[in-house]
Amino acid sequence: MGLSLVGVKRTFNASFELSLDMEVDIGITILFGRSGCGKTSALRLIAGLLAPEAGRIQFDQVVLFDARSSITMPVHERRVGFMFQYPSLFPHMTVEANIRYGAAQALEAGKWIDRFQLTDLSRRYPRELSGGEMQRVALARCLAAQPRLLLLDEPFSALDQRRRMSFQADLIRLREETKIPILLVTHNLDEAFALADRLVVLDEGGIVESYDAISLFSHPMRRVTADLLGVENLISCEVKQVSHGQMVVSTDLYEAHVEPDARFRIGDRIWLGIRAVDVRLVVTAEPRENEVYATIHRVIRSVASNQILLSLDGSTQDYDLIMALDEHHCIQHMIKPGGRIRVSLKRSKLFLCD
Amino acid sequence: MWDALQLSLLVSILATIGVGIVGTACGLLLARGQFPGRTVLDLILTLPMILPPTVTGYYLILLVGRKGLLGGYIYDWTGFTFAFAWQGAALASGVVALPIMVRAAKAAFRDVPVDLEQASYVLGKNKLTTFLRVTLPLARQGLISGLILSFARSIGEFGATLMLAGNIPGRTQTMPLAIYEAFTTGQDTLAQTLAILLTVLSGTVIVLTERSLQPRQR
Repeated sequence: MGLSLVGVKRTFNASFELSLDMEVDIGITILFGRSGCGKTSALRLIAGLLAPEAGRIQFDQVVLFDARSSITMPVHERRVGFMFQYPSLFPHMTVEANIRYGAAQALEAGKWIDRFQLTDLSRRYPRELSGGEMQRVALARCLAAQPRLLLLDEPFSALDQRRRMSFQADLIRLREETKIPILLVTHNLDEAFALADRLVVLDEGGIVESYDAISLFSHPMRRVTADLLGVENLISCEVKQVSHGQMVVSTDLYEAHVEPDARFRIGDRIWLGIRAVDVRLVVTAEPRENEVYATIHRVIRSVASNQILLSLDGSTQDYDLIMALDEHHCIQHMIKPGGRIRVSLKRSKLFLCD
Repeated sequence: MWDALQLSLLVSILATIGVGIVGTACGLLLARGQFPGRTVLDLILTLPMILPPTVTGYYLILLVGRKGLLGGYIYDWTGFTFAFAWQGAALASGVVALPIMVRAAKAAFRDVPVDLEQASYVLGKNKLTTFLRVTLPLARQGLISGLILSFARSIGEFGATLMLAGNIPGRTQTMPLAIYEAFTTGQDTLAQTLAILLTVLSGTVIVLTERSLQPRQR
């Protein structure tokens, strides 16, 4: 069953209220949202470092907080591991003493020292560690206390790219080895995508969508989620036709055939979305589904893949669509500003949101 | 001379112990507590540092003198009074040194990141364990320097001690009082010797303070 939050509320000021209904099961649940949307506060409410004003927080059969029954379990009895944004290691203790601090048994501390390969560092003080080492020690310290749940607050924010990857690998291994539900807060899309089993999207103090990560990344159901999850192409459209097996929506410039979505009816004004990587360059003569002609407005180079800004035929905008294409294919197909191309919006990759 | 030195040390050590306990508690309360009257408490605890020691001594007579607000009850119940007793000298020294300790403790506790205390709670430790194993060790340096400065202040205390405990040789006469008496009665050599002794003692305290303020080397 894991952790459940039902109707948990906390008001911070007249304009900001955090309202949470969510479940956290075994695996990694990512609490995703912009900076300042209430992610860290959500973790602090669960850990007991902040007091909710209403609702119920429960882990399996153990009630951590219940406003109606006036139950508030003290922080130190909750057995909730909390890794702060900055490692918060005790500076007057060695690595080993830090890990032993919360451990119920010395053996448990030793196990995690070995598991995170910290034996060589065990006599060092936190100030003698790198950022990555500090994060590993902080995680080992959390785990040595045998938590029933692990809360990680932006654990990668203080790390460089290489250490970030290494720490991500540690977390993935941890997910495979333990049955501890992990709730991780991030505003970084790559981290969320790399780690999430389940994604909870938070915006302006409320949960917008909560679903399994792959579905939510590929087919967000709300525009705000699509925006937060970095969907490059969100186009206003109207539902024109609904029939068995397909749906037709119309933008100002083209009609697109999409998978049917029971939420919408003919005449609804909604959003049509597709990621830039799913906009495909058509190089063969035969027609493709949802094919459109476009003029290349600009090519923005980046390490992963180039962003091609496309102006569709009949458009008055600088660009209407973004396509991602790696440098090799850009050269091969002579992708340059002013060039004319055909692109296809694959039906299975298109999604509708409100 | 040795009586005065012995009494000064006894009075200062006792005053420092008392100030250490009360000052640390008050410093913690002021650094972390949010309660009505916090500003008033802060002001009351700072006053002995600003007021002339004779005024502090006068207030102490009103409070714990034989007919004082509290002192009257204490005398009626136990037959004991702080007035004209070495315990009065210890109390006066302590009260005058208390603001130094409170301010040092307040600053030391404010410097301990709340994150670290919260990290301790989520690791399953209660408030007392967290205080003893995290907060106190991290505030240690500030508290030690507060204690040393309090000791220095109490060993040099004159005005408040004179008001409450008087100047009775062998009973309430501390070093500063003995120096004053030796000087006013023309015993210049004794006054000089006592002054040098007190200077050496105070100098040692300053050296110790400096050392305690340096970062710890492992």
